[in-house]
Amino acid sequence: MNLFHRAFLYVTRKITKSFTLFLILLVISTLVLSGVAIKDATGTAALNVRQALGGVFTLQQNTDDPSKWVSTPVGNTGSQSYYDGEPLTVELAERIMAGTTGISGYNATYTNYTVPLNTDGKILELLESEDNGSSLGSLIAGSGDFNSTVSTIAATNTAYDSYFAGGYIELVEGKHFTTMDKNSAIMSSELAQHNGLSVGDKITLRMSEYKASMMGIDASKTKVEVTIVGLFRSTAKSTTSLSNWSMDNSIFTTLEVVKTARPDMGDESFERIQFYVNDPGEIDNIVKNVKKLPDLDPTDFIVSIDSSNVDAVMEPLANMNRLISILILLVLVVGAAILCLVLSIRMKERVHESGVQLALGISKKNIVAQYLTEVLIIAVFAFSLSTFTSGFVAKTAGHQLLDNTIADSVQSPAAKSLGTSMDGETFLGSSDFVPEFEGSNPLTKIEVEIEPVMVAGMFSIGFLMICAAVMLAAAPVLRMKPREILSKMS
Amino acid sequence: MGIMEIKGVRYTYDNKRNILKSVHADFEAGNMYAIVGPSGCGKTTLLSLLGGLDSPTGGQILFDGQDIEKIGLAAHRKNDVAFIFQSYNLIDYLTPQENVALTSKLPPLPILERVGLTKEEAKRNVLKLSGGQQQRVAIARALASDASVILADEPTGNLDEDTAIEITNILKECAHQMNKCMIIVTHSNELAKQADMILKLRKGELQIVDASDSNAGKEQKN
Repeated sequence: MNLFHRAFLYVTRKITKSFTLFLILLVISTLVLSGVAIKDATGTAALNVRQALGGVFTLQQNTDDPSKWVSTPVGNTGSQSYYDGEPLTVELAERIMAGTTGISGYNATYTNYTVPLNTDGKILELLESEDNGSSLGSLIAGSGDFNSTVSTIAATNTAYDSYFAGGYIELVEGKHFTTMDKNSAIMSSELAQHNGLSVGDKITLRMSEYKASMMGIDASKTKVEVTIVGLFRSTAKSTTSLSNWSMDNSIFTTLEVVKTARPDMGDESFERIQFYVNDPGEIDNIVKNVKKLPDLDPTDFIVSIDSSNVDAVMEPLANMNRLISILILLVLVVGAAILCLVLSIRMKERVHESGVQLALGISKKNIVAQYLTEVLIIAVFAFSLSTFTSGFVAKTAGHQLLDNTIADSVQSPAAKSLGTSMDGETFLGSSDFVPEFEGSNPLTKIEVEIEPVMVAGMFSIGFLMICAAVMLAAAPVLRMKPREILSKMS
Repeated sequence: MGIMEIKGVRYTYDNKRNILKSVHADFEAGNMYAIVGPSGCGKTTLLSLLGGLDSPTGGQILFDGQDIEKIGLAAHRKNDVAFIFQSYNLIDYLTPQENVALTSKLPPLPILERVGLTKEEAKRNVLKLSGGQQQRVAIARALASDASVILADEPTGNLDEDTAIEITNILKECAHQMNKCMIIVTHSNELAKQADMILKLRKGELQIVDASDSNAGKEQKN
């Protein structure tokens, strides 16, 4: 009777012992395989996060550089300063797009405030919301129609707008607009409903009479009619310094419309242009290439890669990755120790059998090989089953861990991103929101899968661990003379 | 020259206690030998040395004229000798048939039937067999190995009187009819009386006792 036959008979006849060992190996292999799968998924999640959050850079005017300002005399004693660098225009954005590969799109923005009116010339009834506790509300009380102004965001492509792309607001009806769509506007569905408006309706925007009188401008001549092409809904809570400047009262439109409604803008152009790149891994090279463009003076602009949102997600992901690596190692070490302990106890119980087999002329190597084969037979079944159990464990635990990690990290910057400056001129204008494109959220599409290569690795490591454990457990028996074993058994 | 020969074998425990001083003996095929002596005199040690379970401190053990150290103890255990233990030492997860087949060079069932087991008993769990039946399986296992020398350590020690007689007869039969050299270590006078030769181990030396002397009182120095 060869060792394989003996091993098979032992495994099938000592059912309780075999089943105990089966459970131990199943638990170890399930934990290890689940850990490896989750670790692998964190890698995929990190890539998704980089792709979703990492591929954006922003162009702003370099107004902090004093050499970019030119002063001209006004009258006999006064002087006027203006920024002499290249303005942020659609033409500039198109030039950068044309001269650089790897950019998927852009959106240029400028924010001001206007008074919205319906077709009857009545000011729209605005939505009430809590302000952020600033004293601006009390300061402007009694300032005419200033309380009816709304944040008016000029955009070149609302699909790439950081509020939409970041998922803080979503288009619920209609469509996005680009520079091709003249006199278009997008407003919140709640504000539209509040005033009986819908997609296709027209509204009018004009300068605040209060502000216009201060500037010596006739507000009635600043009226500009726009068509509502889309409605949005807020998905994140926001606070503002004035209730009428809340996100739900805001209106997206084109720069031409804002310029008409706010003639005091003069030659001002966009405040910033955000460019979205195809491969986030290439963003540093793309920014370098932008700065090297021949018809562009890099000192005119500040080019920034905003990685705060990426870092906010990547750091917990990296921590989780480290934690899972430690857990896998821990499971392997503890598992190996438990396996070694169980096998040592079993080996002690089988000293009698070992002695008998030695007395019958079966070699020590053959006996140890039989014990090893027994564990390997059980391991094949345990490891095979673990590919299914670990699939379930990894998916359940992995999704829970990854979703929490990413959701916490993505949502946390939302509140602080919304804000306003006290002068009331640049409301909601300069925040860098996380881009997340319409209809697609790669962060929620994390798949925790058991790959064949993981199973192969687990089988290899498992078999090596079993070999080591059996050799360690059998070492005392291997060192003993047959007579010592027989005397132990008697 | 017999099939097994012991030449001046010495054995010392921990380099202190001389359990075997200078043992000489010659064992021939077709005979049953009984080694007797008081407890702790070294009978089982001598049997272990003959079976290649341990090595002597000095002297030589020859099988068929060859030093068993040169043959290799594992090879000697596998090919030349077979053991029968007092506590049967059957492997509990194997049936009698499988226990015999463990090292068998011969078909196990006829041998089991020869020592008195039925076909049904040969397929049962060994732990469900009586002591006598288990010892029969142990004898069958020794016979199945086709070894020339069978070493039995107190083979009737755990058995009742009637079963002990049956087992003794089987062992005697094995020696005489199957031409085996049967070397038995025993405290049993009844078993020793059935041997062709009784050897007494005393003060580390082996002495031949007249087989007809049941009390092993009439000693003859080897």
